[in-house]
Parts: sequence; structure tokens; C-alpha cells
Amino acid sequence: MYKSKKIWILLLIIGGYAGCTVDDICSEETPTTPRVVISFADNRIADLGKPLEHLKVRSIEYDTLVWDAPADTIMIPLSTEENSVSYAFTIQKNNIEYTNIFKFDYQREEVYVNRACGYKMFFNELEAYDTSNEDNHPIWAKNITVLNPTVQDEKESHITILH
Amino acid sequence: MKKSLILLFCISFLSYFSVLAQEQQSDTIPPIKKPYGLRVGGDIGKIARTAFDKNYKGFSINGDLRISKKFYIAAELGSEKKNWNKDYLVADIEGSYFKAGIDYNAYTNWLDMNNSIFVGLRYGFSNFKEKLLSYRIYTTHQELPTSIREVNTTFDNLNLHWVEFQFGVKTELLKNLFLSLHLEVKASISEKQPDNFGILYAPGFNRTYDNSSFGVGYGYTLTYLIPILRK
Repeated sequence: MYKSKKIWILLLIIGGYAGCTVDDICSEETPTTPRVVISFADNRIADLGKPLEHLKVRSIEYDTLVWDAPADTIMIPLSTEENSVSYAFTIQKNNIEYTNIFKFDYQREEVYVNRACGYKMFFNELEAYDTSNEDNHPIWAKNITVLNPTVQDEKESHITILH
Repeated sequence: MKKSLILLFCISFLSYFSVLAQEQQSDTIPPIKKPYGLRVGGDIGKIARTAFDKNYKGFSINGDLRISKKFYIAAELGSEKKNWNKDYLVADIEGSYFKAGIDYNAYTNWLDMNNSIFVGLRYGFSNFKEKLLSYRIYTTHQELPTSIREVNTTFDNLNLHWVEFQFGVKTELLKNLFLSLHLEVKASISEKQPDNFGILYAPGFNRTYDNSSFGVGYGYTLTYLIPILRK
């Protein structure tokens, strides 16, 4: 009976420990909703990368700044709520601001990840348009091209902007 | 399904041999008569959780049948309902399960005592449905808002098969009334997953983990022995 009692106590301790499991936290290594990857290239030689000294990217719909730094290759979010999102891309040269407005259209697809992260979103059939109004402000970019219309990861550029 | 049938066959085969092995022994010392019979009861731990945990409802019927000096055939039939409520997913899981297998009593009782320290092996099968109630799209940025999606999507006819190892003690509280506490470690062997969703919890198996097929659990049962014969 003594031995049995000891095991009862042991079981209660193990059971109590097993009952307190850690919360499920979405790990940073897990690929979740991708951002769109944009690179910058020379207008005359499209294969030649042409980084920007400083770039500001502001959301038109939500008026939030998503990029404010030198730009070689940038990653900016697409909306998980709408099939379209617009951004103002602004650079400064000799104290003059140049702004292009780019509109991104796409189809959204919800994909289950796991219990910790829930769902992520893929953006398919991506299209990009320059909707700048040159009467309002000078522009700097000449062309925007979709390289890969399927935004499912952040490994390679989806879009290139020529300037 | 084929895999599970093979497993069930193996378990029943093993238990059959253990019966044979025990029968071949011949006792020379006049033994103390031990009751052989059917123990039936339920899980009082599940009843207590149903009372105190608003996200859980469950019960089970547990039974075992002594087939030799050390071996028992054991089974459990149960039903559970669980509400899973975390940041990114809210879902209801509901279904029933069945477990069957053998217990081995490693404890040598003195005189007419009937306690046990046992290890058990089970095959488990759970059939259930999951109802996804709400979820959020996980993003690594906060610049654009993400809303919580309220849905009501039911994923029917899901199942999970597993093998389970148990370790526990049984004490005879009163004449023929046994209280048992055991821990369970289980490994999933086959699953029918929902489309574009996952199994968060399976009745009988308990919660699943993202990066492993293992599960844990416990049982706290009260059973009554119906003595059939004494040996």
C-alpha cells in the first residue's frame, strides 16, 4: 500500500505538469502572409538594378507609411481585406518631391497554416498600374512590370519599377 | 483503415496468447482466491471538468475484464465536446471515440489485496466534426488592418486513429469499488484532415501539436467490480 501511495503522488505531480502546456505561438520562421517584393531597375537597361537613395511608400487607403529608407529591393504589404491596394511612391531630388501612384490588383486566397498561426493569404493574378496624375506632382518612375503574378512567398521579386 | 485493422488484430492476438501462457502455469501452493470479473464505471475526471470548465463537455464509460493473473482486456467508450479559443482560431470540436487494448498489472498484491500498478496498451479511434467559428489572417505587419472573420464552417466526418500507452494505479477503496488514475501518451497513426483546416483536437486523443504526432492525456476513473468467479 505504501508503494501504491508513492505512485499516486508521482502521478499527480506528472499530471499537473502535463496540464500546464505552453501557449501556441506562431514562430517567426513559419512562412505566413507574404508581402509583395519590388525591385528597381534602370529604364534603359532593364536588367541593371538601380537602387534609390531614399524612398517613401505611403498607403493611399489607410494613410500609413510602409517604407521610409534607402531602397534596393523593398517588401510592402498587400491588403488582406480588399482585392486592390494603392501606394504613393515618393522620392526627393534637389528638394523637389517626385511621386508615382501605383495600384495593385489581385485575387485573394486564404490558406491554412497551423494552429498557432491560423490562416495566411496568397495573392494571385497580380496586376500593377501607374495611376499617377502628372498635373498634381512630377513623377519619377517610367514603367512598372509584373515579373511574377503569384505572391505566395518573399523569395524573389514580383514586380520591377523602371526609372 | 487497413493499417488500423492490422493493429487491432495484433492486439487481440497478443492478448489471446497471454491467456494461453497464463493457463499453462500450474500453481502448487494453494492460492488465495482472487476475484475475476468485469469492472465497469466511468471517468469522474471528465465529469468534474464538464462542471468546472466551460469550454469542455465529456464523459466516458470504462471497463476491464480480468483474463489471467496479470492481464486484463480493457475498453473505453466516450464522447467529448471542446471549444478551442485562441488568438487566431476559434472552433468547436465534437465527437466520440473508442479505445480497446490490454492492461498488465505489475504489482504483486499481499494476501487478499486487489490494488494494481499497471501499464496498458490501447488502440484508439475517434470520429468527430470541427466547426470553425472565427479566424484571423496572420500577417507580419500592422500597417494595413486585418479583420477577424466570423464564419460558421463545419468540417464533417473527420477521424483519427492512434496507439496509446498508459501507466497508472488502481486502488480498491471499498469492497469491489476501484479508483484509478493513469497517464496517457499517444501517437497518431492515421488522420482524416479537413480541407484547408487542421485537426485541433480529437475526442479521446485530446489536443494535437503542430510539429508532432504525439498527444498526452489522463484518466481518473471509478469502477465497480462485478465478480464472476474466484480463482
